[in-house]
Amino acid sequence: MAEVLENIAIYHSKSLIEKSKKGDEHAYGKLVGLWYKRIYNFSLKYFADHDLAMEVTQLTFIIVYKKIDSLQDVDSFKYWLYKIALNHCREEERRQKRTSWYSIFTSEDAGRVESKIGQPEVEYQKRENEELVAEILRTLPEEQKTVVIMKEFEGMKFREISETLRISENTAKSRLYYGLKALKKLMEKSELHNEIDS
Amino acid sequence: METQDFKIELMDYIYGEMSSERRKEFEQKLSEDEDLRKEFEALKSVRQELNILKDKEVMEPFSTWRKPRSPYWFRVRSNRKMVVFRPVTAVAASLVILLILGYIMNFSISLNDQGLSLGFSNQVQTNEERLLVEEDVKKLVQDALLDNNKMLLTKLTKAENFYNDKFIAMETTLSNAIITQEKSVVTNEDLQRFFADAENKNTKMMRDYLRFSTDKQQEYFKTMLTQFNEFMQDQRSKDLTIIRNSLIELKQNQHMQKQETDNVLASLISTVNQNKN
Repeated sequence: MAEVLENIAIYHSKSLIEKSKKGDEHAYGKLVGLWYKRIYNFSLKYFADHDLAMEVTQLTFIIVYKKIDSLQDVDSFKYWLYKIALNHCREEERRQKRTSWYSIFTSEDAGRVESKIGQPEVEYQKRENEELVAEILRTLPEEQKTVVIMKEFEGMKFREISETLRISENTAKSRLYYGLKALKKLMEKSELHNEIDS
Repeated sequence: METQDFKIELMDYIYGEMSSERRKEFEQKLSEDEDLRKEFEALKSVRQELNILKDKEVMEPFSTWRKPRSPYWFRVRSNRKMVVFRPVTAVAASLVILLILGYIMNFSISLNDQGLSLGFSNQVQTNEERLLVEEDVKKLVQDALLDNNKMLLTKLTKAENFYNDKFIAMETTLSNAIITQEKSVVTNEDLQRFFADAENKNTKMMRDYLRFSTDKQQEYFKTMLTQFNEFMQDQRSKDLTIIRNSLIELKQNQHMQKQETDNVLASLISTVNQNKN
């Protein structure tokens, strides 16, 4: 389903990119509308934090707006876009490490607290597991995490991943393999595995 | 088992990026190799668990994408050129506007003896004014003197008329006074009578004043003596009260001392008696 939507987005993107390159603000607004959710979810998987994901997404589209006229190949827009988003994710992560920032009560937490009130147990458990998986994914080494997100959640082909990250396809596959293996180990250590097993 | 090819094949197979021929070969391997199958199952389960994470809906924040567009002659592809070109053109445009405005509004700059002057009017007017002052200054002074003389003459005429009138009035008054002096005759008897009346009046007035003053002084003295007497009486009664109280107190003290002496003597006597016994 995600792939179908993605193809539709790409199909629509081409003409919008062309117009945006010529300075059509309206077309650029539509282009942002098409890709905003994808970049947000990519960043969200990367950080497991709504606020950071929103910040990175907004920064990405600001940079894209400023530099879109320098984009040579319209077909490479998708890689270019993910590359900018990934660079911002990396930069933000470095900044977070430097400033030792801790999210005490993010909007995600707020949502979790709200869900505890008056929600069924199943829904609560599902949300807990979701957060646990997101947290496990976040703790993966950066190179593996990026490939896992691009492949699993963004539905990118190995060729596209290699184009975006400027690595060989085999390197992408290898990183994905180790990423999945690392995830399995982490899941085995976590409550999630125990719950699923039981 | 975990060779590079194996990992690559496994990834291709899991993610469906394998040709049908290679797929069949790999499935054959999978059915034969139990370790490989376990590995495959493990990774498949990880993928299933990752599927818990669904895409989150997000509202795109409201924003207007608008670049500040410049006219086509300012659009230079090189950013460095643009940075230099823009301020230069801006300064040039400002200068052109200033020059046009200056021309329309007769803007002028001049340096003369009075200093540097900037203005929006015609400069020729000031030169004309300066020449006029130099040429006609004598005439202006003469005119001013003539006006001044005229004014002084008018004032002098007025003053002369005023004092003439005054003099005539004084002369008339004096002549009238001389005439009346000649007409009035006062005898010595009248004068003696006048002075005698005045003396009598003064004597009477002085006498009345002295009598009134003496009465008032006597009345005041009496009042003062009465008040002093009352004060003395009051003071005397107070002193007597104090003396009486002091005497009573002294008497009481003497009585107490007597009693104490009696008690001491009684105790001494009793002590002596006890010692004797």
